[in-house]
Amino acid sequence: MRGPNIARAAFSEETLKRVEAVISRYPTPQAAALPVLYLAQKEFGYINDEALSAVAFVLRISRAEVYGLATYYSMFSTSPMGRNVIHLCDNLACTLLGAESLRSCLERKLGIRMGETTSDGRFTLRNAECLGACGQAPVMLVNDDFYEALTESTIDKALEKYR
Amino acid sequence: METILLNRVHLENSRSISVYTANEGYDALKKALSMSPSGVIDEVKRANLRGRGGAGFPAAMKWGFAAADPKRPKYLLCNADEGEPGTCKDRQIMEGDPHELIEGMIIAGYAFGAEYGYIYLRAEYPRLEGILEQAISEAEGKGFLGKNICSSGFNFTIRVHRGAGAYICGEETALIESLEGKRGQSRIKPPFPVNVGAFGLPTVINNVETLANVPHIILKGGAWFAGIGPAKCPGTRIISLSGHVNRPGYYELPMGVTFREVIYEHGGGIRGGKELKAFIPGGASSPCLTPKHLSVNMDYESLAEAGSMLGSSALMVMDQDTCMVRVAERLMRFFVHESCGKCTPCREGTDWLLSILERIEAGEGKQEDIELLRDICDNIAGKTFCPLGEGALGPVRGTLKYFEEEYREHIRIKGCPMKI
Amino acid sequence: MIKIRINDHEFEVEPGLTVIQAADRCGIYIPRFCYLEKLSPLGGCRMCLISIQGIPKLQTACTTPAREGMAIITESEEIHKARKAMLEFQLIQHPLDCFYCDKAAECDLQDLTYQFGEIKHRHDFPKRKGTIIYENPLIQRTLERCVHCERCIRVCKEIQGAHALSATRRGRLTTIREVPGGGECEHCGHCIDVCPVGANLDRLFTYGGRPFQMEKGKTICPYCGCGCTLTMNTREGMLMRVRGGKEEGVNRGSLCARGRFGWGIVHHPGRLVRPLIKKQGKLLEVEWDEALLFTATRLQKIIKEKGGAAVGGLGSARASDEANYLFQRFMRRVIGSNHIDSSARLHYTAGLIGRLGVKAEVSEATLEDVRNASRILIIGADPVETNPILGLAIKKMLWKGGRAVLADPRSTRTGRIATRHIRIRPGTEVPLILGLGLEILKEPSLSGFTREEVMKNCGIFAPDMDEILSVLTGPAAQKSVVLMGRGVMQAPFGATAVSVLLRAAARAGASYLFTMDRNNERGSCEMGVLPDRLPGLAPLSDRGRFEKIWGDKIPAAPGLSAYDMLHAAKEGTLHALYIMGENPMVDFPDTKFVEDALNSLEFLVVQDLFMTRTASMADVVLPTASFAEKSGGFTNLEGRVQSFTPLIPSSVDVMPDSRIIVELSRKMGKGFPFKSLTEVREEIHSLVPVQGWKRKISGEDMDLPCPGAGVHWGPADDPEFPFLLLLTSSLYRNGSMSNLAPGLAMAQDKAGISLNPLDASELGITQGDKIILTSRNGEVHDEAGICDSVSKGTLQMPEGFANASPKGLLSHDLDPVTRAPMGRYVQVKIRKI
Repeated sequence: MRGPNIARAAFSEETLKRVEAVISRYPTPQAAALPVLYLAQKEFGYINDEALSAVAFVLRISRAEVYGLATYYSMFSTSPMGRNVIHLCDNLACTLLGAESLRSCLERKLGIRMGETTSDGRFTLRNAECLGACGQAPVMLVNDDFYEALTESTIDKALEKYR
Repeated sequence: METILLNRVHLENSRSISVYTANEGYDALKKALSMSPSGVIDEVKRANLRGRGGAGFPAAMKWGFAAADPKRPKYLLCNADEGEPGTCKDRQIMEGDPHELIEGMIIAGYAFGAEYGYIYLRAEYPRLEGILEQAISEAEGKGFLGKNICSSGFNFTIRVHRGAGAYICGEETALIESLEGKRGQSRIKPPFPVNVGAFGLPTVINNVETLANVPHIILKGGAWFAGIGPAKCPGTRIISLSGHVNRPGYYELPMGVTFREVIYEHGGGIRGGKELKAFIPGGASSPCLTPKHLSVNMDYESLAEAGSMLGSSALMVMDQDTCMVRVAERLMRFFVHESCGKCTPCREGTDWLLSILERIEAGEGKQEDIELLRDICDNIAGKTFCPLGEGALGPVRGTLKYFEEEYREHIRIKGCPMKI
Repeated sequence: MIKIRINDHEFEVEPGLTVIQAADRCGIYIPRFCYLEKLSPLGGCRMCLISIQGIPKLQTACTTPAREGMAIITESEEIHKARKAMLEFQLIQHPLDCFYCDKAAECDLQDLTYQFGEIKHRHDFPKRKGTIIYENPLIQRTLERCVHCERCIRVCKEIQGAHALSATRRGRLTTIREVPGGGECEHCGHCIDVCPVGANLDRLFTYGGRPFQMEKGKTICPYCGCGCTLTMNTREGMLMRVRGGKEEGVNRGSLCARGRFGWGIVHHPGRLVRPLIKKQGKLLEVEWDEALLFTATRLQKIIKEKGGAAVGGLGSARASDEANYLFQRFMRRVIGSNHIDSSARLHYTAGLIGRLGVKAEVSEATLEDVRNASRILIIGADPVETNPILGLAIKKMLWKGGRAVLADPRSTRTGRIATRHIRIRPGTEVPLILGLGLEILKEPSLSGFTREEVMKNCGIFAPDMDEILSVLTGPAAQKSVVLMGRGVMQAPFGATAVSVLLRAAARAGASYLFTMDRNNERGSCEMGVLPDRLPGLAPLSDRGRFEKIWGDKIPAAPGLSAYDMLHAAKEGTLHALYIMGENPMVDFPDTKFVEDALNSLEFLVVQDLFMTRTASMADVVLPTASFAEKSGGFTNLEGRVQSFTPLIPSSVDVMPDSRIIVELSRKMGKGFPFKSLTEVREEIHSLVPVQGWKRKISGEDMDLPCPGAGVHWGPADDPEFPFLLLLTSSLYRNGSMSNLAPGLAMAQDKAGISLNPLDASELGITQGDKIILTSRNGEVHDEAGICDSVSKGTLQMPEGFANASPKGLLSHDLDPVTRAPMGRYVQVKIRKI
């Protein structure tokens, strides 16, 4: 980028429409930062340079500020992620009921460590700090789906539906 | 025992507006709109409804402050960023009876003159976004939301704003920052949100559970509500029960119920017939208590007296085999992960505490570590920017208070003596 | 005033302060990292904990409002323990690398830790290794030294408006940095000034010395017309670094990249150190005496044979007021010629003539007026790049809720911050202004510029016109400012447009300001470096007053302007040219023409710091002192005269411009009576009336020609040269000399040609491709940059870069009134290499 050049809002036309709609729901463009970052993450897979520029452009804030947001909130990733993201809760309520062994079970099954992505790009495994389902602990969230009262035997079945 | 908030959640299609209206839904709104806004505030004041987020601030007082500020427009933010570990109460309301919350918001908005409402929803509840949006559009379709609600001349819109994973955004000024598209970090107070809140305008932030009580208070009267539970803090509380109990889950019970009743009657006692070792009464930041506190009542004052706090009434139960250093370490890891990094003692201090806890648990603790833990806690206490740093001390201080010997044993035998 | 008690002493302070502000005003120091008066409070470092009677917990002094009757304790055992604890926390991750940290001995963390005595290292875990980020060529960011005070973030956002820094990640992993890859930093260096530790450091300074080895001094920036105060550190006769200082000068402690990092020209190895004389086609070093005598003899010969009018002189829009005053007095008195001009002709004379053409009182805005304005209309200017501190004033005004309306055809940084950027067709600034004039003044001479006509010409719509007009209508116009730049100054009928807009502004009660590219464009003109004006802009008819003091006749007829001199040289009527500190070969449009003209001269004298392209063509080259080595005054764009003194001694054999002129005059037998620069200043004062802090200039209702209707504005279609190149400015350049500042070259080393993505894809050009632009006058090649905001069919290229200059592409058609070369654009064709 040179001088006053502003990068293009590299969203697809369809996403751009959704972006504009979401911005119109707030008194300032910046207030739409979180929903727009979600849309960007969906479109670009993660918050890469292109996503940073596109989000900065539509929100009329600097890329540095967008980067500050994308790294602050744990739902956004600035590195590539798998097609499906597993969030395994390992906060106290889940730990008390065996989240530790579920973690090693998942790591073994997927052949990756916490925070990594399988080589086929199918899964990214991340830990979560309380998913708010403590009454049904231990729990995990795969994309938007909750799996509660997990055991080693129910994990297999849960993962099958994700390609 | 009669419940208030979760009356409808077991009905079929409980989320739909038709089921809601068939069961007194939106009757309270119609009644409220026939009252003056200050009349609504007075009714809620009579009920002595205190905030269910954790601080227990009287809801009507917040509304009154915001109503008195001449600036417009005003905002009502519903704090649905239920992030305190162990807590899953607001989720039950939003999932099972979203209109209860929406009706509460409309009435609150009417009471202090808000035009816009946002529900700041926890990122970890992705499905709830759709449920709430569906409910909002149903309410709009029936004329309960939007322009000129029920021909009263009152306009109110609600939008769902999904957070993105930051515990601190449950603190009200951090929530506002996050809503404005910034890094969710607490603001300097004063000014207070009731005067300078979202987008610089008067703003009230109420918890989901608080708002969900409002339609019931309007419909049945403040006096009725004030008669339930202890006088200082009437009403019910949704308790999230987790850990080593036979029947974990959520229970709506009157304020002031004893821990014994919750753990042994509703929760069915400790799993596997084991002994109770300790319990955390109000979410991760409340210091733990021991079996000798089983008769303590679950209300703000009784718990403060017992040296802990009611917080979000998330009750986590631990059996005899639980390592309390491990518990402290696990919870400290959470606070380190969630510290926003703005103020020195929280950013550096919590990390230091965690390092020491990890070392003790791993059998590498030093004799002086116990004193060091206490001193670091003292150096953090009262000096952090927001309550997060203070809350992070709960697990360490609580476990040290009742289980210091267990810490010492870790150091002595260079390892963890417990099974978990 | 409110009464407060601090440590049992009663004080009175103004209301509305925080406790730390109140304590500062009472002379009681409370330790701090994050608090800085000019920034919004953060409350993050927790060093300023104090106790307030009646409040159980300690409070931060920087966030607590001081209230009537408050009893504050700033020192106690509890407070001491708390602050010491905060220091201990800060030191956990700090690398303690003070031995080789440039901040040592001026580091708040070091000083405060010292104050608290020994702090035991109870933290016995490995430190998180931070990193040094070298992405920024001029600012070293050492993250492990950071105390997270966020001063840099706040100053970048709240004062400089760059938003280039952000806290990233959170909790213990929080780091403060630019976006990976950078690109948003404007290199103002303010973050270096405010950093309490060694996390943000000046890379040009690295290991430059400890603070106690530095001598400190102040000077005025030698680049643009803002006239910022630079606080300099020098060591053993070398400039070491520049700082903004404590809210000083018109810049109030802010600087731009040029001011902060552009000082390297002073120590550039290419500086001329000895006079040179051309012998057998080669410039050879000689002694001063020989050089001056040679110059004097050759000039005297030409004067004797062809008369004084055979000699012309270019004064300098960079040299001091005093040097310019002496130069024109030398030209008029010693040489006997009115052929005096400077590069101000290019950028400013239209504004000057336009201003002189209005007799009515028009109030001139200051930078402070801009900060406090409610609306500003900017026409044909990019102040954020050309005059960055003026740009900051505009940002400040916008933050206070003001509106900025910009009418400019280019994609610019100013366009990005403006409330409204109206992209008029290139070359239509003048009809736009005349149209505004018709709406406001309703003068019959402007009747051709009806709204419809103007909208058609400028390619704008009715709401645009309304927006522009709104700045100058209604009672709020009292707080409006109109700002004009080179888009107006270098347009045909530019002077007419200026005078019309000034009269309209006067009618509305608004004030005006011009952008100014060079540090002393205004001063050089006001000192009489003009062919038809004497010092104080007095007309030649007023020359009797000057002759009395100078003791010699001044030629009665107006002299030639810069380009007319060059024409005269080419035609053989001008035989000698004396150039004091200008580089027409690079800085003037139509390089080929300038070269031909200079080659036709019999005798060319150049006074400069460097062997410029112009100097290399000279018969005599006289080395001069830089701004850091001399005294004098510069007049900034507000008209403020600011004087400066030497910061370092000059290297052996160079002389300040003023002394060269004085010595040369003596050699020519007409010495000046001055014993010091002070006496020169006194003479200027006696001749030029002063009003407040600026010189009194009065207008005289000139009849400037007004274009009729039906004139074609902007470029005519030319199928052979289908693209239009628009000239822009860069934050990192200011004239050809700025290329020699290493700091500025590090920030940006290539001009680059920006083009629209649609044009690029049609031509098969991608980012970074080499392209050649050809005009009727010349060609230039550089890298292409693809940019959405550049209009289709146009290209943009900044002036001032040594690697590629668009100046050679331009023609030099002169405006009949100002005799300045017109055009901020040229028609070109593109070829990919």
